Amino acid sequence: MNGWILAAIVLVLGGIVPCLVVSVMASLMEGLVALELTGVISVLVLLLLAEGFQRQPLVDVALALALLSFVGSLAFVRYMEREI
Amino acid sequence: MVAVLLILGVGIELVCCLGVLVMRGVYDRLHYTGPASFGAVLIAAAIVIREGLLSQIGTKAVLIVVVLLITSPVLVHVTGRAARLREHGELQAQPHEVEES
Repeated sequence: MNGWILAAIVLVLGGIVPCLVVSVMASLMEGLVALELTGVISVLVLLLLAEGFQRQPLVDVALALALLSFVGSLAFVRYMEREI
Repeated sequence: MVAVLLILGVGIELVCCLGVLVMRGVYDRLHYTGPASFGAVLIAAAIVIREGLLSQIGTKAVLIVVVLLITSPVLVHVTGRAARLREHGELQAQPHEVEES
């Protein structure tokens, strides 16, 4: 295990898990904020894993996730504007 | 140099998550999602220094950072706007928020 994979593990445990807690415990809008932060962090985790395992084509997955998580969050926000 | 950038980048991300976890209220939490894209810049810089800008992973890391830097402020703005609309039903200042002059 090298430093890149270690950094990815730290990001998953220290980054995605707290956001998951917020998404479950807090209100709808606060959960949406945590979801947006989770999108950024999971992109970085995929980037670090691609570098750590030396599988360079896997970076495409991170790039696709960066674009799709933006669109997904925008769709959520669009429906959250009104009281549900 | 690579290790320093990597540790700084991961540290910024962890501080962002800690802020989102600890703060109360949408707007306070929203403040802590902003620096996350700056941490992404540092991590991508570490990868570019290690692999070179013209390698496949280096070019795409830069591309990912550009995407994150463009989309992150848009998301923060749109989320804040939606939170305000949910609270008040309109974007205009409420009567009690306007300062008498």
